[in-house]
Amino acid sequence: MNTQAEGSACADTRTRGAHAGTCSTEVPASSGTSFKPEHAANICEDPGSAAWFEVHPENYMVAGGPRLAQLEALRADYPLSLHGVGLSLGGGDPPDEAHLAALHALVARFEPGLVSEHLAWSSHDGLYLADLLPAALTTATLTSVTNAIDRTQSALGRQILIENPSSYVPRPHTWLPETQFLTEVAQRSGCALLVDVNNIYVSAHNLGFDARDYVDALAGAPVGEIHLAGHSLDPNDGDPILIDTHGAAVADEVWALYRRLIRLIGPTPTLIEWDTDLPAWPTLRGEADRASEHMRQATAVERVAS
Amino acid sequence: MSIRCEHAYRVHIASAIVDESIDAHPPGLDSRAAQRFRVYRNNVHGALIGALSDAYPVVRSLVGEEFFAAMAREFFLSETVRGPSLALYGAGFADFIERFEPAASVVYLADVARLERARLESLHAADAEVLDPSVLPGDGDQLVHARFTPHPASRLIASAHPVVSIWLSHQPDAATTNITAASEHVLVTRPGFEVRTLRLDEPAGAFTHALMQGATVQTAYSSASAEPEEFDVVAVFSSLLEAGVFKHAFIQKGDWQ
Repeated sequence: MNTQAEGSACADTRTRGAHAGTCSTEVPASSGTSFKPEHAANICEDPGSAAWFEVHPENYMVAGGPRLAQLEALRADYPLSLHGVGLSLGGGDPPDEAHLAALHALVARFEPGLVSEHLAWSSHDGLYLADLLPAALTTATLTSVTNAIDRTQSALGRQILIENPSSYVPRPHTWLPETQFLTEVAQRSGCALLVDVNNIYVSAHNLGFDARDYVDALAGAPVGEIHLAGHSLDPNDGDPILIDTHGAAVADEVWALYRRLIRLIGPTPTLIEWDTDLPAWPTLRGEADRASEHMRQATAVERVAS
Repeated sequence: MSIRCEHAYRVHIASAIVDESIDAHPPGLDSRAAQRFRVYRNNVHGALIGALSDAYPVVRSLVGEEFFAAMAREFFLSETVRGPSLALYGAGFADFIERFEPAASVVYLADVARLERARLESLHAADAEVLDPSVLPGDGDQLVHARFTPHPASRLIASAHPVVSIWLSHQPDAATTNITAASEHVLVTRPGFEVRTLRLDEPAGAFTHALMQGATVQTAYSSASAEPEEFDVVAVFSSLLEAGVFKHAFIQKGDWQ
């Protein structure tokens, strides 16, 4: 790919119009990373180092300016994924129409290969709470989440993916198992799943279940994307918990779970998320390379086995 | 767990997130679970304080990290509406600071916040070409009748304090300077993708304000109400054109025959 082409991330975005969509739309079954403006220059000097990039659409819900222009330049060279945090699908109410319209405008402009959201809620009574709060995994929520996804998919005119959350607080026994909830939502709404392997590991530690059982329960589920990230251990006053910080390298145990998942579902677009304590580009790129290597190995084992 | 319905569950969590007293946690959780619940509360508070901190770095530097975090917390607890994109978060922060008693001694703080807000709005404003000065009539008799449409990224703020000087002195490469008490107008523009911050004195500020409101050059000049030796209208006008304050120029029928 010629990264010096008009409209690429390496051209001077101040002197030309942008040409989004010159690169293929489809996110390939290989590894990508979160896109951070701090890495823009490195990505341009290191072309093809990640196969695709992901951003939070909420950061781009502005009228104009350099942020949108930079994303347009990136999109000219790479497939893109929009990973939303603001639709509050688990909040019981239909999604906010103004937010859906803003998301739709970004989808139309950037033609992302993947659009995803979370099994969580983040707004209450008109106030955005800036975190992914745990949805009650009940049959009533199953209906309201399915309806919210239906509304989102029809407003965007495309399929979305739903991500499993990281959990910290024990759940009532009456709640549905998370994998059952997610696969049921996918079946009813036609959405796909975004499986965050680090979230599985963190939740398994915090809630006391076996992460491998969770992964195995995803056999046959429509998984369209995988997330990997780092976590940290919080002593929490004698009750140690893992916190999903997106601020460290992927843990060995998470790589093992990842290989297990890949063996189960085959090669899948995989994203390295890194949002806090942002490292220099070579470190993030190195994590994406490791993901590719694990995916290759897990798939090779699968081929030998079959 | 005694939760009767999902709505009640969310109401409880939402209130436990804002209420920092140790007993405030969703019903039915034992103390261990309640202690874990603080992860969510920390995330919410951290994200909102972080967003304000990114948008108001000079305000933060003026009052210090700890004071800023406390002030930011009071601000978001007072909000009744907050949209799901934080890209332009903090619109009401300057007005809040103005009423925030503990910050009253820093008299210019609210205006510094207004300046930083203007810069953020300018950064994310709609893209547009700036006015090409060559389209303006060369004849001064015609030019005095011209009116302008401001560029979408242009902002002007009048302050009774030397806000631009204060803001400049907190930039990374700032030289140490003595700041003298004076009113200053802040002009923020974004002719390409870089936000510019300009300091205007009283007559230039009044002139620019009138032009941005759609007055003719002639009317704007009289609203500057300054003696010719105090106000070089030609120099000020060309600096406005150079800064990219305007998008269009036009002469209204009746303004000039």
